[in-house]
Amino acid sequence: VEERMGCGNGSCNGCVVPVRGGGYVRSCVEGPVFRAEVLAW
Amino acid sequence: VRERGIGVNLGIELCGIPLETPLMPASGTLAKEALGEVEGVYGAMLPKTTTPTPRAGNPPPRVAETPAGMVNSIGLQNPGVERFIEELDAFDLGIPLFVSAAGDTVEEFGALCEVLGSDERIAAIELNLSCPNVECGGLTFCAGPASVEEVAAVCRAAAPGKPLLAKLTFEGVVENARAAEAAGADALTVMNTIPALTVDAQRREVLVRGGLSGPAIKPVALRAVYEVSRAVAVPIVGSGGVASGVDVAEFMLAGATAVQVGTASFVRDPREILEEFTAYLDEVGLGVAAEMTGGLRHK
Repeated sequence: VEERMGCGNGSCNGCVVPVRGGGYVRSCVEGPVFRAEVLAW
Repeated sequence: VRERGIGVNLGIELCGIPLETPLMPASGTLAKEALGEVEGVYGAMLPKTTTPTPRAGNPPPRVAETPAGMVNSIGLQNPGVERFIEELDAFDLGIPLFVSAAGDTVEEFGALCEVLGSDERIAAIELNLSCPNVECGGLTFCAGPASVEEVAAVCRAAAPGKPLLAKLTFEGVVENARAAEAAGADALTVMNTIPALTVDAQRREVLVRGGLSGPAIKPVALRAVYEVSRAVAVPIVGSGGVASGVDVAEFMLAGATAVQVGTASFVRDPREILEEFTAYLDEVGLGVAAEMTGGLRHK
């Protein structure tokens, strides 16, 4: 995924993407490559 | 001829806690994934705000770049205090650990401070009384001196003996500073981000409604530190747009005892900021950083 990033190192929580079941993960450290079924898209 | 920076004493004391440098991260700008990069730079560690229960945070987009700064609306995303405490050792850098705390109600603040106050690994608590991105815990709840005083007093009682910092917003900062001091706060963090908005003109939508940080707010933060330092006796931790060693000096001269680095750490290595500050002290012939605080000359 491509998200707007603030810090790029996991600190700012700016680049989050929603996950199934609720909540967010950071695309910079948990991603940027995700299994499609994990994300709520 | 002494070597550059050799013999400069960067140590300061804040609320009776000795810090090896006057720098610390601003809350929410340094995650445990990035700790390896900052060893030896900061005098204290300060992780992102913890709250009594987990918070998912605000829906994206959460950040937008602006001239000389950024607007963020994270919404205090965090795993809640229980998991925070479980994972606290991850933030052990061998330096004092300050913990930022926020709640939706006075009771929540009090309960949180009871938990944090009894943990010996925590050197001090910073009350986040001013997050602009959480309606209840932010502007509406803690907007005025009565709220600030009430929360600070409850937290003071809940965490006896634990140094307590109150982090304030720009609006009404002097009155809120006096209120926090009266309620027993040991220090004040001045200041949080400023409410701001970015607009996407192409989509004709609000992009990010949140808080402005970065060099854009530095003169505003300096003014706040300056005014507050003349109104209260407790030490001030300056925050807002610090991006260079000379910025650190400016905040200390305006009255800050210590200085937080936030947004700038997304752009440059905070180690360079400390090196610049050391070089500044060397250049002006001041060997002791602590003597900078309130050291403005009067014309």
